[in-house]
Amino acid sequence: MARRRAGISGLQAQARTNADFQRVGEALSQSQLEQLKSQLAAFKTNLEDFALKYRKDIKRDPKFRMHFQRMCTNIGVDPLASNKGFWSELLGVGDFYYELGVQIAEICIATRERNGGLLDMVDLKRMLERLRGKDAQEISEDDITRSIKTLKPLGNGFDVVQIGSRKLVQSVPRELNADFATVLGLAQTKGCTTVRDVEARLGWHPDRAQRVLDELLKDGICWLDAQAHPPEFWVAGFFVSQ
Amino acid sequence: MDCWTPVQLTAAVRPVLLEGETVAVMQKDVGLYEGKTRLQEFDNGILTVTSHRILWIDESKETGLQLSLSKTRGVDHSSGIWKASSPKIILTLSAGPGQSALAQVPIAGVSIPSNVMPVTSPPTTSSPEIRWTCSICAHLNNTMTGKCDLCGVTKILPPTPPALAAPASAVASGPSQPSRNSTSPRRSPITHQSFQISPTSHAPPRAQTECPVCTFLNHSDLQACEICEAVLPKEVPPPASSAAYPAPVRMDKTTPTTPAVLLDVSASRSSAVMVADSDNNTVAIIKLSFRAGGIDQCVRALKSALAERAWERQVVAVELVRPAPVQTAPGLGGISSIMRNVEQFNARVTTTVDEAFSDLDALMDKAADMVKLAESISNKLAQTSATHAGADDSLEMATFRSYLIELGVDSPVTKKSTGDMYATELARQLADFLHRALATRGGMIALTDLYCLFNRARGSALISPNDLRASCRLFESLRLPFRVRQFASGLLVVQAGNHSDDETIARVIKRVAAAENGLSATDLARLENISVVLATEQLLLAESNGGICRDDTVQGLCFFDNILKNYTIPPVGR
Repeated sequence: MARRRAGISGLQAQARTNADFQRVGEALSQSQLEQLKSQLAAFKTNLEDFALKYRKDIKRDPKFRMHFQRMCTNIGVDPLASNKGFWSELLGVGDFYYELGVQIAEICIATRERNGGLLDMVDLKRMLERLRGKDAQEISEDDITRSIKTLKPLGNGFDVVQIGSRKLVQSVPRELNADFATVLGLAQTKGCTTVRDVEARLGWHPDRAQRVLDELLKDGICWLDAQAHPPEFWVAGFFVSQ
Repeated sequence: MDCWTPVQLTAAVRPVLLEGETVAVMQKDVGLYEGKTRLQEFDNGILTVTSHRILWIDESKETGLQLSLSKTRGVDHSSGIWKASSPKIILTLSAGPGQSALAQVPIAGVSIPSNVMPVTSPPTTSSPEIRWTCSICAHLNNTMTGKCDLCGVTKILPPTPPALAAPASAVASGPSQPSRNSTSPRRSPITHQSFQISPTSHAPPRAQTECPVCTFLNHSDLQACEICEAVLPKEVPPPASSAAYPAPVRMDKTTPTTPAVLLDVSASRSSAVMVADSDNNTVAIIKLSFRAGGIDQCVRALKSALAERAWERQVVAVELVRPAPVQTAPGLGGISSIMRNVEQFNARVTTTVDEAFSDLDALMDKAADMVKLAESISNKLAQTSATHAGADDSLEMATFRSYLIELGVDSPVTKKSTGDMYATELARQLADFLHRALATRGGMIALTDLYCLFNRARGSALISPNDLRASCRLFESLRLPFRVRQFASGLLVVQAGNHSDDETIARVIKRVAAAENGLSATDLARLENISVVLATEQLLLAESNGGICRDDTVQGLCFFDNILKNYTIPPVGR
């Protein structure tokens, strides 16, 4: 073992070596990352390919199906990629619409935290396309509407609502929606609130705020003061006799 | 019953599957036999063949048994000879080392008190009254069946205790049989080495030799078969240690293990049907009786599972992905060797991926390895790139995905694997899923959400909305702890059965009692952070229960505590 040289030059040499090591390490991890990404990409294309091509075979063998499923979840590929067949197109039933329904529901649930269960059809379509991978068959808004219809036997959990010219997919049923309670809590201090107020204080999308207040109005819980500008929503329960 | 062990069940009476195990087929109305003995306690259950095990589950008693396929040596099946007999699968098992037949034989010369159990009392099933005397023919039965072995008459209850049974049989069997033997002709044959069974006694099975040609059971003294005159195999002298042991040494290696031989064996021994093989390994025979058909799929599934031997492969699979130790010369340490290692590993991964995805068969072959690889890639990427996760919504999707992976259903119930039990099995699987899913969702989930989550967890084996609806309807009849509830608006939710009413009512009453000027639905909604609709519903529920009372005015509907409920009438007259 060579003894470490004492003095300033020794320290400098040591620092230089350390820096060199660090550089090499970084380069290594960088190339590792690149490698991993390319592997992931290869894996992904292959999986998407297979999901599409060998769908029936995959379904048939329970063990392989389990493995395939695990691969897909890990790599982030959606194993649901049936094509819209003739009968599907005609009758609106079949795997294609069921699968699309599941995918729509998934996106809605995943984004619920952010948008309160109200998602623009255009956004939904964009996210669906990304989820389904680039090789999957194209989908239209009509397909989305149809898939949501296939979910009807499960109660009115999902619905397409029209606001102005835009179509929104509503995924939180009123009974389970805590937004109403949140808005009521907000209105409690002053007795009234506005759309702008809700937006600002809760950080919500205008659509979401408007919709919640409209619903409250419809139920008779809120009263609307249309003469104020902007219109104020007064909560009847919070009127206090002065 | 030694070969079966209890299986762990979920709350919805479904078996807990092992890592990597998949269900191949399920069949209801299956009864278990041990040798010839029909096990009354295990007479009607659901048989599940998985890649690793055979499971038998009694849903009414909520018990289950398992049998590892690795123990199984052979599968055979017999379609019922008589119309009354259901087709059966016959499994030949190798027993564990502790269960060798010889080990269970008591030492010769030790006399056994008459009230002691016969040689092997199976730990799981044996009731104390295994031996009983038939009231009709006085035959001393050894079996657990309710029928007499000899005359087929059903056992008359209450069963005669063994101590009383002995003299009774002695009287009934008449003078031809020495009473000395009649007390326990089967139980301790070894204590009387010279004891020969007289022809008039009900010939114990050891005195019979199976004809290799026609399988007729001949008396052991015969040289040729009574029926077909084929030469009978000579009796091989049994192993030294068990010279007097009456058992069922298999005479001839070539003799197929036919049930006929084994049936008699079972009669001679108390319970476990152990046959000493020619090489002294013990073999147990069990039978599965299919009373509701479906035997063909089960046989096919069993055979393919046995051929694949999935339980062996698991160990190997892990090995392949691990980077092989790289041989480096001692001098070539340091950075360069690390770099080389990394490069080699990457190259290996790339080739593996390419090979595996060359076609479907290749992928199926390498599926387990590829799963590991996929896991490792996603893990590494998650570690290195946790900071720079891509666009806005992909992060949300990713967290949701990982949540779904946790909930994953490894072996989804499909129409193909369960046949006519599809709806009920699906309901049970759904219940298991709900146990996990509802834990994080406040005890209530909209059916649409459930549909999405459940299907995602099942992967590519989708169920339709109608299937889900049908399964949910079965919760009540299957006594599963979940209920579907429909709101006035038509919304359907699933909620935990125990969670529902009492708990809600108690909570609402507490809220109402705390409010001074009464509580309206709006207030409750705000306090509990639930929707007004749901709050109204809960208030009405509490009201119908008598916990609260209403104040219905022009100002709206308010609720107050019901003070009459806890009011005690003051004693009268003082």
